[in-house]
Amino acid sequence: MNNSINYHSQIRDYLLNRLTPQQEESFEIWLLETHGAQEEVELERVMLEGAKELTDIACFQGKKVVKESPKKHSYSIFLPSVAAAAVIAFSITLLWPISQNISYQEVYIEQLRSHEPPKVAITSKDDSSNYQFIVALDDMEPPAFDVTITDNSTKQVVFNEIVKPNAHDELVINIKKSTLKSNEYRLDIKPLIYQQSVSFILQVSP
Amino acid sequence: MLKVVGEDSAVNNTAKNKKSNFDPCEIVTRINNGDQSAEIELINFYSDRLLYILTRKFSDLDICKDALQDTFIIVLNKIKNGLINDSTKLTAFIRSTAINSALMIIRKNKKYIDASDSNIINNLTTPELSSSEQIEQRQLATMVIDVINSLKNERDRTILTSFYISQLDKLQICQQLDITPNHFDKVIYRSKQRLKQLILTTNNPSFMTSISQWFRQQIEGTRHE
Repeated sequence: MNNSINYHSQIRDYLLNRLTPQQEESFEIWLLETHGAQEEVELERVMLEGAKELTDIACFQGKKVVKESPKKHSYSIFLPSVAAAAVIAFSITLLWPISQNISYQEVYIEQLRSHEPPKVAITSKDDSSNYQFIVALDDMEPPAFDVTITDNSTKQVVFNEIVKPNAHDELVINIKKSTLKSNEYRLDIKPLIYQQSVSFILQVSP
Repeated sequence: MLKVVGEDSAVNNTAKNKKSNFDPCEIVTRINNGDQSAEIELINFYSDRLLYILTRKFSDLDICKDALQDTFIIVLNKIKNGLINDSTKLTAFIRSTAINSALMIIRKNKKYIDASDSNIINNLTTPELSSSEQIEQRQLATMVIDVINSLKNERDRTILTSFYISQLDKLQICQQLDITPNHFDKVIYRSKQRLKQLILTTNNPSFMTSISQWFRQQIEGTRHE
């Protein structure tokens, strides 16, 4: 082992532009002189860019990205499959003007323990053109979630996006009311890094 | 006028150079003695990584390639004229020459750009991603998810997400998760190996443009084996 070890710890700082000019010069000379160094740098770059893209996808969907610390000894649970939930869902006819032309009817979805996917009754209560589902998460570790809404009768996917939790450990899902016509839908929330997912039944009525 | 070996020739010699031990002092001596193969060795040894460094600093690939050509012309001339006094500092000299060459080219180009056209100047440094590039970036994200999911231990996945997505530093993660730095290094190493495997076995042609030229060469090399 040689001074490569020291430089390996600098790869990340180099890619994130955190090195001083002197450190950068020293690092680049090492990179130029060392076989295998470029592979290390490239792999780190792909990891960082991919991770950044995950974050950007979430930001694009209007969520603030929070730098979270891992909870000590709490890497076990996202939402255990046995701990499904009953739901308290209450619609609030609150318009949240994110922009001048877009309005949302907020629908809060919370989890209580249950064996069946909880049912959430949704009724359009105002003139807003979109629903904003706000799903409270607990014991949240994953950085992003794959959110899918499927028409229960036709099994057609009507919504599929990657969503990142906001600062309050909530997933905020925006969807046009016109997409959810009166029918029964299944909302699946799958953490991107864990396998268990949690589901809800959305009963939409006019 | 010196003629610099073409880019393709340099690429074809990459594998050969990986096996050889490159000694800057020896190369300088050989070039001084008129050994033309030493000139090619020098170019092949530095060109890929030098281009990589230049493209990190300057977004215009054409400028970087021109700077690369100019650099080798300048460096080989200096060596032949005995102007490299300390050959142990050859790499540092090559690096600074490349950066200065790129800056010179940009300055020259800017003379012909209307100063009021700020869009053109901005495009030299801050290119926006096209829609196809954005799709490819998303594929990078998918690949990272695959790597994270490939780790069987949940704690290891937490290490990876804390490091790359939450961007916490190693010490912080080790303290908070009560793991040794050695374990941390192993997880990161395993993940990188998995990522490399995913990249080298990718069959998705559109993904190919979102990874570097260097990795594309590796993939091509793998397919030819």
